[in-house]
Amino acid sequence: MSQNKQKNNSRYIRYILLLSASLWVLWPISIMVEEGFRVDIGPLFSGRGASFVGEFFQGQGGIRFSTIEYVKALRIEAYPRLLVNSVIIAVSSVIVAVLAGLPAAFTMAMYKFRGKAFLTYALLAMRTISPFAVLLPFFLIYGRLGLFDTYQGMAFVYLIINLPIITLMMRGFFKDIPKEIFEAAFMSGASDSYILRKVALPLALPGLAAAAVFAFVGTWNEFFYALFLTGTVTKTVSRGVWSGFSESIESFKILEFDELNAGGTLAIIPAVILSLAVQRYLARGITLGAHEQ
Amino acid sequence: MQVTLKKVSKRFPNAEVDAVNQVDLEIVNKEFLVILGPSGSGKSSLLRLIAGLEEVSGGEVYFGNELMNDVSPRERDISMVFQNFALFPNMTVYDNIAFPIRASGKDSENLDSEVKRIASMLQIEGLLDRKPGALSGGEQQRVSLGRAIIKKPKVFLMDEPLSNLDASLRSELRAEIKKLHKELGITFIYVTHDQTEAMTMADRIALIKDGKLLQVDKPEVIYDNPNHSWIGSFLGMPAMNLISSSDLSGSIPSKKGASVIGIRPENLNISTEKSKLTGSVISTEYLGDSKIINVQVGNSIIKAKVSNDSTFSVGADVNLDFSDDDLRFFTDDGKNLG
Amino acid sequence: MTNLKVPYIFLIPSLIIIFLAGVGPVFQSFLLSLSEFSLVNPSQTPVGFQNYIALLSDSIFWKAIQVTMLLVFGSVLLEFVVGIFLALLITSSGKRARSVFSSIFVIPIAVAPIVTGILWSPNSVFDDLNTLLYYGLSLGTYIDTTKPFTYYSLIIISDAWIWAPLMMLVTVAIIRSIPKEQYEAAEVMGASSWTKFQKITFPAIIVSPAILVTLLLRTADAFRMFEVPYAWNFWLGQDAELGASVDTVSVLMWKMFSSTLYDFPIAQITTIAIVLLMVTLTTCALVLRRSPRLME
Repeated sequence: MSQNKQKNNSRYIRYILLLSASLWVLWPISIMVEEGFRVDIGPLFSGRGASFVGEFFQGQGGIRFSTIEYVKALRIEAYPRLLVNSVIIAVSSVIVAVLAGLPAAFTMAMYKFRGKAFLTYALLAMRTISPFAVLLPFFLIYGRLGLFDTYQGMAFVYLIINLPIITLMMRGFFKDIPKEIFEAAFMSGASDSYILRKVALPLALPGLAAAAVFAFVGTWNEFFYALFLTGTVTKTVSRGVWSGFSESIESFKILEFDELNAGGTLAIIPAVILSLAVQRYLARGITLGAHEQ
Repeated sequence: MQVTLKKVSKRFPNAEVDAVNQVDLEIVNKEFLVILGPSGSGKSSLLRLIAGLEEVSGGEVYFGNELMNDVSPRERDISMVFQNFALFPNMTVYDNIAFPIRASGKDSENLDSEVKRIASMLQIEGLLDRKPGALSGGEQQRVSLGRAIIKKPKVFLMDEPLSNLDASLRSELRAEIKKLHKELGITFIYVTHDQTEAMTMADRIALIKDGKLLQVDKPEVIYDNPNHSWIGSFLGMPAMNLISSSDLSGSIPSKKGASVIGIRPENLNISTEKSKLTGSVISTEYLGDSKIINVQVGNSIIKAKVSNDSTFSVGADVNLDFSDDDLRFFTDDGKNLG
Repeated sequence: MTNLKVPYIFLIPSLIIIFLAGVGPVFQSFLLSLSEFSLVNPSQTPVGFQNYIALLSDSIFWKAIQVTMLLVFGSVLLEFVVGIFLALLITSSGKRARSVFSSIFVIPIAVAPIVTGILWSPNSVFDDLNTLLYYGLSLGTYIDTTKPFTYYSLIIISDAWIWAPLMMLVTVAIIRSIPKEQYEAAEVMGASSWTKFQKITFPAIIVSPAILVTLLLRTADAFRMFEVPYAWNFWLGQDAELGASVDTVSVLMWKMFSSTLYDFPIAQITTIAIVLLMVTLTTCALVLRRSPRLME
């Protein structure tokens, strides 16, 4: 085979593979979007007006395009209300995490001190901890303090995820800044606070944006803490997906499948958009700066 | 400000040897001292110890009579210029230069005129609005100098500031730094591996190798009378000829205990009559203003620097003459016998 | 930089949060696990380690552990393999293809795990696939989603679907750092693509500390897998059944908590949680040991 033909062949193969991989990513999502529109393309394959799940026939099926599920979900007391909740909780939690985490990240990046290893370990552990290890005490204490189903309560709980993300990521970004710049600032007589504000932060701003988005998305997607510690007031989007956007009672009612899918679609939109915006920094974020990009 | 180092040592964690080994050094107020050494000799480490950016493992650092070991770099009243300039990329040239004053909270009405004065002294007043990314290497280094001098330090430290610049820029900035030294009248401590910089700028040179100070003296003295044979081969282009004394016939005066004899190529000249050294010319190198001839004498190859119109031919024998005063004698381990 | 004048004050807010939100509650959980606390009987008097001992002989717990380990192993392995595959695709493509496709491939990470439980539910994917197989292609067979093999596979695929892009990103970074000369030398020696992968790319990936850290973190995360098995509980109608076949340890704990058959046995739940925590902490310690750069 001539060189060129070989190259072309491998190019075709590569494109096929790329498209297949994209299919693997996008197909499930597209199904979810479709089902939300009550579009079931199964019948297209069978030529019959039926669909098939496991051994059971389901009477529904067929393309009954309808936007009703999305309309239902977008009523004010449904998705938009939960959207606001999720946003309030996520934004406030991330803000606190940034205020506490930035100075800590700076110190960890610039200085050696005893206990730094412990701090790193603690942050790492916090991020990977099973929620159940802290959930019950939170449940009990929040009950006693009346923090159950409050924005403050939820924002605080989510610090467990957000603080490690912000701190460890920013530590990585601060370390990326050439050491001499800090030494020069240091020698110029600047205090740590001045250096952090005027030198480190401006230079690591894109990193901060990425870290903040990352923490935001993590909080947004979180289901577990939301399941246990939110009630009717602060119900978040992710909990709403599962138990119904507008259900005001704590219930595990299984929704109509189409409803579920519509909800799921709406739920992932903000997270996906934000993540695409900062995807360059994603790898560092999830490994918490453990590797250089 | 006088800077005194007493038995200063530094060993980095996980290192097997000291980066800086028992250095004693007295730097006179207002002098321009160059710390010269090859890569890895510990010169930068030494500078950073003086700056306070590293903690000493042993010994003491004094500024004047004050012990500085526990004093943080911020409080030492010094400035430092780095090899890669270390300018703040997010700030304009103006803000970079003004930084030290603003950072210490001493912002005053004078600041603006001060910044402009320094900028014009360094010939960068047209660049005040630009950011470092838009500047050339030479311009960046000037900004770096400006930032360093605005706070009127007592000691001025420079860590290979010209190494990242082109050769032509380097000679230009060498002159400017010297001028700066004269104008500011403060102690300059300058680190480099480049002997030209050292020889042209220093009041005194401190030669460092493997963490140890080998010699501290005026450039002429070190060049002419190195403590150690290694220095002879490090300084000078081409380096000093080092010949083992057993290799030469008895026509050369020797000293008791000397096993190596040194003589600089420029001190050798071709003579028409039979003289102290004879050998055959192996090759020649043309330098432009002179020539180097490599002469095989006994088992050694001796380099001589001769004028362009000297008579010799490659492959033929040639006579080399010199003055006995130009000989240097070294022991087995390189010490100069005087 | 020197040890002089570390701004310890910068650390205080974070330390406060760590203690209030992390160390404190964990400690209290531990205390609870040593008692017989439940919402019905809220006594916190410690009774020693009897909960832990009881746990060791609890078959439901061990079943959950088995399920969890199966899912963790399968999921991490699959996402590792798929991640490498995607990375190879991305790094061998031209610039435009790279930016377009890497944007697409990265999307799953942003999708909430709970939504993933919907994406790969029996209804969604297999509605069409099964119909196709049964009717469209007249194969007369279909994929039975009630069989364990199927649903375990689906759960593993779901989790790997989300996290494979992460493995891809890390692997891409590693591949980018391999000096091109190695490939050029191999090319000159007549090596095939497979050989190049086998001898250059794969070894580089395996020894990279970044990949190791990522794998360890993912394993620790996977141990607390909750959302997808939780969803499958409902698909399979097992949500009221304790010790069901898709219960991971986290799901088990949830069931113990929310099931009406039990009286909120908090002490027992925290016992399991603490055990799970030990696994997480050990994994983290391993991560830090292997990646000393993290400590700097």
